[in-house]
Amino acid sequence: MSSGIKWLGRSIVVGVVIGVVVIVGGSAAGSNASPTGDQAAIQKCQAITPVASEYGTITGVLRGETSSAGAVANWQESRARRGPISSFRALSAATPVTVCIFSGQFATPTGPLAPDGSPKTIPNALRLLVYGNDKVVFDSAGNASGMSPETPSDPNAPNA
Amino acid sequence: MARSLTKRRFNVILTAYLTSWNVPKEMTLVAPTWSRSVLSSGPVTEFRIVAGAAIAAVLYVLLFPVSASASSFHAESDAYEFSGNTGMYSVHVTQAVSGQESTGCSAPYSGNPVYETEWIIFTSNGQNWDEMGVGHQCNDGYRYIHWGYGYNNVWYSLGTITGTSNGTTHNYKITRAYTGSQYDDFWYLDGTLKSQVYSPTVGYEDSVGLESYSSPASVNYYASYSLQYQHNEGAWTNWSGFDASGTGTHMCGIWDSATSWSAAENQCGS
Repeated sequence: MSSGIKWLGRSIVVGVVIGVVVIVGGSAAGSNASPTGDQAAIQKCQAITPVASEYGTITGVLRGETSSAGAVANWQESRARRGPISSFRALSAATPVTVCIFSGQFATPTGPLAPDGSPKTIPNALRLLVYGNDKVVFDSAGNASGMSPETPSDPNAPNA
Repeated sequence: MARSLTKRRFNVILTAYLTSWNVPKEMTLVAPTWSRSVLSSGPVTEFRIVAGAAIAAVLYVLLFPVSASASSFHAESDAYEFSGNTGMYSVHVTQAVSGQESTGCSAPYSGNPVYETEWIIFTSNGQNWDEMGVGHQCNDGYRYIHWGYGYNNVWYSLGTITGTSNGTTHNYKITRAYTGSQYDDFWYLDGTLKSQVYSPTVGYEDSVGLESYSSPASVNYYASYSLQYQHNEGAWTNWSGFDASGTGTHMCGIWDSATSWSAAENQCGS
């Protein structure tokens, strides 16, 4: 072993060490900063990461928020293109629901190629809802910049 | 009714992010100050340091391939009718998929899906659309009919029906109508209303095709046919213009007629 290192030279070992430091450091820097939201929700979101991973590659929790079935239903029915009745109407309005937003790469529909030639981007944000005994419900996924209002408490969400 | 094709870039290969291995930019090695004494030893030493870093990079990629998710592949085979803006109708078989990853076996929109789809596109940047079709996952062991819409580049599912069988044929219709107080879009499967959602604007154009997140999947040519559109809530009208089409990496497509587009993946010769 030592003769092998001697043959390669110390400098190549230094190079490997530098490479490892740069890669590990770069990966850490490239992963998410601390998620926003309340601590209980963030922990819940982190706990369901294995479930979220079925939807794609998870790189972190962006946001976690403890909400209620009533607030989630109002939010779902009023955001984007209003109309569909939220499935959370079936629950008691006070039922705790956790809103989780993950970063990563996902595989939801993106629509056809844009008429103006704009490139299609792979969805980089996933929003899941958790209630009861860690029952996970898909909410939406796509480009993170298009998810506003992200949660029922956002300023532009109904009844916020 | 074809608009100028020069403004469009359908000849551009649809984005296929096969090479996005997430290797940090920092891989461009810059020697830190503390290593100057080593670097000053000469170009051979510098070469060895760079070689060492390269070894580390190769080991990283080999040891952590999970960062190169299969979902980094994404490509489509699409056909377009520029006159459609409030209604889209198509018929197609649920086509078998082979060679797909065994992922996404318990929930729609997960793993490495392949979607057979029709669309109404609402904005020229493609970030808003209506959609209805069939999803295949789990090496085609998990299939579902799905419908919903995209809003600001985010997918909102309105519903799914799991368990649709390969070889079965369904018709898919999305249409817009005034309800007395507002315009809504309506999603119909085989003539049965599935969802209704507020529709603030007319669309931009209609489209039909195949969308894939699975690079190894094989899909033989299948036709989306009886293609019809509505313009400003008017009469249903056959597609007529061969207006535009586009296929990405691994994907293929061909007009059978003005009202039939056949798409495939990794089976372009058959």
